[in-house]
Amino acid sequence: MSDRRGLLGVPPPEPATTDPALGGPLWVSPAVRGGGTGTLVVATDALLAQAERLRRLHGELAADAVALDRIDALGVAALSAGSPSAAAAQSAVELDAARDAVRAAAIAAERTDEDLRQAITGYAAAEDDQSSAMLRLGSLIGILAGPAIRGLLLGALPIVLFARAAGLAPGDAGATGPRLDGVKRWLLDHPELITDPVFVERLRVAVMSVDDAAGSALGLPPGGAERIAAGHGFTGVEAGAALTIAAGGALGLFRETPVSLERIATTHAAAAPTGAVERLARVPEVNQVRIERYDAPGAPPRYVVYVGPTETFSPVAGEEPWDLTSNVTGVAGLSAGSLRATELAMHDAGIRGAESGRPDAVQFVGFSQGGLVAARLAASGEWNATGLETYGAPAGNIELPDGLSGMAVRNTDDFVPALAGPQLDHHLLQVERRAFAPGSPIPTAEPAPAHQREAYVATATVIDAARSDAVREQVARLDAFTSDYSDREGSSITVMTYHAERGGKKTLEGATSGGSTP
Amino acid sequence: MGDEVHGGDAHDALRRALEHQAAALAPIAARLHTAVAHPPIAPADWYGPASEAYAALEVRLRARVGVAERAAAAALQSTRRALAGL
Repeated sequence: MSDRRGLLGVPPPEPATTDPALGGPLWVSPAVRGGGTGTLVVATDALLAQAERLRRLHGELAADAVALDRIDALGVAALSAGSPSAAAAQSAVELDAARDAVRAAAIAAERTDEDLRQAITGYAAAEDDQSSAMLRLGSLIGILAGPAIRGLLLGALPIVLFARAAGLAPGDAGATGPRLDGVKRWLLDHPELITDPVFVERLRVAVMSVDDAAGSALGLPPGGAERIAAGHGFTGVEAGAALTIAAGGALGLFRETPVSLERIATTHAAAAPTGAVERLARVPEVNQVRIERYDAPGAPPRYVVYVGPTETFSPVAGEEPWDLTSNVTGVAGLSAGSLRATELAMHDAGIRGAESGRPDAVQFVGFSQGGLVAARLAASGEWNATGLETYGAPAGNIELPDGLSGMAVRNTDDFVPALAGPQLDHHLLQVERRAFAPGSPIPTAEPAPAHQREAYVATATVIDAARSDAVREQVARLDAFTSDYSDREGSSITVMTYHAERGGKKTLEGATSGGSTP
Repeated sequence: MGDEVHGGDAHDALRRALEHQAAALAPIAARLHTAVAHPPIAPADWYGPASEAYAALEVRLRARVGVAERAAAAALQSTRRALAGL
């Protein structure tokens, strides 16, 4: 933790941007309001913009047709009947023709708009059917693979016990590092294998089948593990994550700990962020939480909580709370260290929660694990969450409240969001884009290039240039949350930067680990 | 005399009606002109059967809006001509 970038509360240096032109189009699924009973729509930003344009055109033509009817009522036709002006009579005839033509154009615009919207909803339904079929197939494969997994585990058990006895198991000094280095090297050498939407979808299915495979491996009947997990409050991908924690616990993996944190700096910002790129740039690294307090004369404060990404992928909990343990614990819906640390920071920043009776409005922004934490906090009901913006977050299984501003952004060739299974919640605008279109060169400097910040900066750049109202409205609402205050005379923006660690060495401590292993 | 007064009233009424007609037609013709100048065009990266079916509708829509634009422009022009001739 010697690196203190962001010490003065300023964002980390702007990363090199992946060329947005390398990626695919923006796919958009607007939030389904009103309890999630509306129609799910999935379309490219350009197609949605086209549908919106057609609807506007139909509205204008229909209004013009009504206006032309009113002109007819002015009576030129009747008045010109007794008039020597042939031109006036001709204008009445031309008016009739214009009215008919505009009416026909309005009908054509309506029909074209309806046809396009049917194509869009039809695509969403087909995608939904395909996703359900894949999950059923994955579940079946998991059940069928159970006996083989059991055999492998039984065969591997003596090896693991020997490894632990020899001090080579995970958690033992010197063992984890080289092994993870090897995995990292392999991933770097083969970026195309994991930077592929097909791989991502298969992983999503595999993640959803963990409980079925584990149940089958334990000799339980189909659905047995699911029922047991449900009995402990875990459903869907949460059950798989909880089982992973339980299994890993025996090997010293994924063990939650208490956390503590300290405020590293309190500074002031000159301006509020505008647009997705600027907000993403404020998501911190190293010092994991950044909180901006917006004050305006005569108004209660507003806050934006920025939560950083995973800092270490070691499955063994060390000092860093933004680790794999917090990822798995967070996906399981348990109290992850990074979640508790963020809540500690929010309390320290003076954000009033729901229990106060006068909760402050909070907007959450998070990248990767930070998005998972942000979504959990927004869904918790303990904070007055008005907006949420996540990038590459494994958070599709989290049910969000209705009426949130913002969006969940995912690169379809980024496997990290797939670790939370399919996108179940549709209360928030979903924006997807392939970071590296087929044929584009894939960087080899970092593992999982589609999950890197630069890849999401590229997607955020495309979002800021979006043409559909569905995307533009949400970007505008997120902007307005802060600019409504920062544009006022006498307003101020206070920036608080926090660094958290596992254990109780920092000044602000979490009372309990809260991470009970199921 | 009475007929002249009556004829003058009818003339004025027709002029007012034509003026109102021209005033109401002008923004409609302008809107249609814009719609023709910037027609809806489906995204280039959309392909497949749905896209092809939609493309046919879009061609028809562009034609219909074009007809409406020309009709509105003609109505406006003849209204102005009638006004000038009064």
